[in-house]
Amino acid sequence: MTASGYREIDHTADLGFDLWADSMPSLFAEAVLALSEFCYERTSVLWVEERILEVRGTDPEEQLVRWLQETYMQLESGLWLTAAATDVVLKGEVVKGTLHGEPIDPARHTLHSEIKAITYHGLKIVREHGLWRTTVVVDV
Amino acid sequence: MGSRSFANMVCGGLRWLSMSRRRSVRLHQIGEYCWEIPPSSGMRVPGRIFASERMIRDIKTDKSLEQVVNVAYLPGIVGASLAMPDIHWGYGFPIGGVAATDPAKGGVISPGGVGYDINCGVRVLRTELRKEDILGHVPRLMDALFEAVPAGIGSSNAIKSLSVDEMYKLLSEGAEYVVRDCGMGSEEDLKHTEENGCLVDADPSHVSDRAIERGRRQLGTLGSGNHFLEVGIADRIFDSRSAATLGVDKGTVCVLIHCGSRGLGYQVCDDYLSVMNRAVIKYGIELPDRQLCCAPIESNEGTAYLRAMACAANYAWANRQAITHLARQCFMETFSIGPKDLGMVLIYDVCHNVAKFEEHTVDGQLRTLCVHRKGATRAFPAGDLRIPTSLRAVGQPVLVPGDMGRFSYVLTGAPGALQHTFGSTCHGAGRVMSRAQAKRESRGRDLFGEMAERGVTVRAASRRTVAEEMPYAYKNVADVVNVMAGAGVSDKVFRLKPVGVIKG
Repeated sequence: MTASGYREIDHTADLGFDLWADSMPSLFAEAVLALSEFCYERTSVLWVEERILEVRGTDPEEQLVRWLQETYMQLESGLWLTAAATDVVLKGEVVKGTLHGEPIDPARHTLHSEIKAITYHGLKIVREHGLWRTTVVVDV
Repeated sequence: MGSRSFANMVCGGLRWLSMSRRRSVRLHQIGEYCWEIPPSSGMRVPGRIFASERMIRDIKTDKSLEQVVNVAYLPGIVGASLAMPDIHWGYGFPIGGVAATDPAKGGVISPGGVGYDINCGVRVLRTELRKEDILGHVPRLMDALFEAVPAGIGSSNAIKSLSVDEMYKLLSEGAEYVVRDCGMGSEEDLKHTEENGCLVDADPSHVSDRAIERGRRQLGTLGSGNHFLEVGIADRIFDSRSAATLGVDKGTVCVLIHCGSRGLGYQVCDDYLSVMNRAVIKYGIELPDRQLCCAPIESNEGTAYLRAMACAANYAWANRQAITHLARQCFMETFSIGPKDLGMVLIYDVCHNVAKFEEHTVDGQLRTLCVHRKGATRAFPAGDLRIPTSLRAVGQPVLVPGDMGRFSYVLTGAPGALQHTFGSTCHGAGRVMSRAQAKRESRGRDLFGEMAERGVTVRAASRRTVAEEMPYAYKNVADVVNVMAGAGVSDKVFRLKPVGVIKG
């Protein structure tokens, strides 16, 4: 297994993905990749623009939920696709990072599915065998 | 730690009961179609699942029974944590879950018992058109509907964006706003909508600016996932008297619309999960899943959520009303007929993700309860004063969509619903295959061609959504409605065979 990654899991009604990384910032960056891959053809999105994302949460789980919610809102409200997140920093209640992507171009981008929300269902970030791990369930 | 035991964990200041690994759940059959999980550990009431013996074997394969157990922890829960036969693994509550809580006994309201898509629901309309009138025209009709009703990721701008003032009116008045102020429908539509299309407790001051902003451009849109607009033909009548009352006989062309409160509802749920996460600490509530977070109904947090939830429910009714208007226009243009010849009349509109105050008799006493239905439909029987006078002789219509290749059913509530399920029944087929597995199954297949071979024209914003929603991903809805009929909870009236479907 690589030091960081994600994998879609079988969840009956909704979408679930396992995430793992060797650091919390990398885990948050992997989560952006997993969510983006579900919503659209992520590999077709170019790193044209940057957006700074900052969210707050009282614990790592709430921070992850809000981090992904705000990433998704770039698409729903801003019609902007995220290719990746870099420079993720977690400090106290704040998570900050840079999203790379571009506005939707219907000629080049294939959109897949809308999501309703990032859920707290069974959400727990744990450290096992030197890796940070969690499973996120997304309501679709 | 044993597989059935819990550990108390402190997680970032929040107190949750967490499981080390998957629990086994004890299950006893207590009736031909009813199974019970006896109370244990922190369960305040038993779990009770309506299913056939064959279905219960499938149900055991995912985590939905654990979720039935988890719901039984909610303070103030009355009777049992219930599950309908379309139960499947959701988040917090199982899909197909019903829980009634008593505000007078510290009962809670849980946004997880309503879901993100507040007032996701279904409406069915009948027309004067017959099967022979539309065959040969279905692809053209579906093209027109697909053009008029935006579907898919970020779908918006079906009609003009609403101002914030207009949104406040809509959230307060529900479907009546789009009928009266936008000219989209009639008073008759409102009479045939659950709660007349408006929860009167709505107070937009409890809805966030972001939620209102998300709602401004999405009125009249389907979204994606399992939402759809379907044209179907009544191909089998089970109860001709009730079907006649609903204006349907064999060959009647009908329209089903399944969607909810769009981004506005999702945002309301998100906003109040944060509020409830803090409320569980404030009120010392211990729960096995954070997604079940809740507050006493009579607390400030509970009241605020219920008022915001009512706004989202009203948005959903307005949304389905707006889509109805767009569909009527498409039909009239496609077949070059007027409204009288089309005769597209709303049979009924039901919500299947909501919490509402209802009076129910428990142990011989009439009590006002907050009934959470998450993937479950209200099903009041004939004679109930809470359903429209025009339908009172047959009972409240219940609309149960199946998968897009087989059938959907129209039922009516039966007396057993008030005895066993707080007036609730199933809401759909229920998934039997995960979305990931359905996508794997679809690789290399001509999905649109397969549906065409079944006689169903599909128009979709995304091939992936079609892959996830293929018929093989769902239980046979006939099995689901037969269980509820066998249990005396709802009765079959007629069946619809789809001929055209729009998916997101």
